Amino acid sequence: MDASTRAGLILAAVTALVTLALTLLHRFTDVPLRPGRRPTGERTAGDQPAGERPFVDWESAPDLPEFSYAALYALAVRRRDALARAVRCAREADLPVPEPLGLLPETRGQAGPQEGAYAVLALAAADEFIEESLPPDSVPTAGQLDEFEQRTGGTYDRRLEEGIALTDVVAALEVSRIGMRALICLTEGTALTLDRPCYFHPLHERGTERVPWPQDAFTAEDPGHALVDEVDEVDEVDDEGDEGDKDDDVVAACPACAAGTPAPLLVRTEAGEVPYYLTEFETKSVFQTSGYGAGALSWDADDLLRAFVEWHTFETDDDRGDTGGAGRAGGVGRASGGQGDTDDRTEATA
Amino acid sequence: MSTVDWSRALAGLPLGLLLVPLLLHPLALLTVRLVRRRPLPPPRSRRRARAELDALLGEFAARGGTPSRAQGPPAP
Repeated sequence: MDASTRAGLILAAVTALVTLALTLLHRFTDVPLRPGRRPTGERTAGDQPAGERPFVDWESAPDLPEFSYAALYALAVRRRDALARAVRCAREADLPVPEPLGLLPETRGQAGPQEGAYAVLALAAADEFIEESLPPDSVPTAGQLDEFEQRTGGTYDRRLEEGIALTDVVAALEVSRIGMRALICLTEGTALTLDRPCYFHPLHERGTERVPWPQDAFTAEDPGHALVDEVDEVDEVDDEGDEGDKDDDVVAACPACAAGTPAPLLVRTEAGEVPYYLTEFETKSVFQTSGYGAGALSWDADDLLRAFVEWHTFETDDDRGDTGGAGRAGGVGRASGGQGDTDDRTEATA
Repeated sequence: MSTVDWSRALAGLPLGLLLVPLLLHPLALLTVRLVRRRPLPPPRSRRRARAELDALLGEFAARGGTPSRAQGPPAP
């Protein structure tokens, strides 16, 4: 065997050994094998380094430099993005998180824990709420200006539009939290139980107290109302659900609102600033009737998330001429009408 | 009498130091798992995704995502 052959054999052996070693290291260890890549255990969330990623405040009462629509919108987008990353990671980690494939996952009657499906539902809801809200730096189109003028009879007022969109932004903030908690439960193998917000102001501390329903507010409906097309079935469910449900009489509230005069989340309307649970126009009826979950204590996570995703807006309902389901009242908020609260509530929740 | 090429022999030292931990460490891990009949670890992509998920959920918990205190019983 000459020197060249020997050298070739040695090279082949070394190459095979190195390849085998690298393969074993890749399969069984977290040693970084590519330059510039950190070990798996030291990796932080997202593709960006921890210092460059935006800070996400998950507090129920976020600590914002300015409590404004723009700040809340930005936080809602950050929370939605973080939830989207977490859902993607959970899928890649082979956790049972269903792919939407254009349809929302079915959870009712399905075997096994549904926390992965809840996270997907929450992400779908957060996406929808962000999409329906008004980006702070957006410029209204000519069509939007005309539509606003026809609707209100006045010139375009961005604060009114932001008032309507505020309910969606708050919903995105809340539902993103639910989605993240669902993923925590998924990884821990526990069942998701809702952590209720404060009914009066969902951006207060969590609703750890129970207080009677506000006299002038909507009442929570049975979650069966989420299915707009199944009016007959809804009526049957509603009749059964009204019997002996003691949770219907109370709402969750933060300690501050429960102890003193509640400080509700105010939404700007044409009639001035009114609590969100009294507004109706172009807002999802589930926000008012369930108080983002704080007023529907008998609902579980599935009920609330499905209602977030499937319940229609007041205006959409009127456009369809629908006669069933929640939030049938249209037009400007009931608070602007002054009298007739009881009748309006009956109409809105029939 | 054969002569030893000491430059080549010394070059084998760092090569050996490099190959031994590279090869023996993962082989030892694999052997231990096989002997103990434990399942193989998930692929690196799954481990990375899981670590990223844990980091996100950890941030969520650390930045106020989990309830600060357990929900008490409903007020009468």
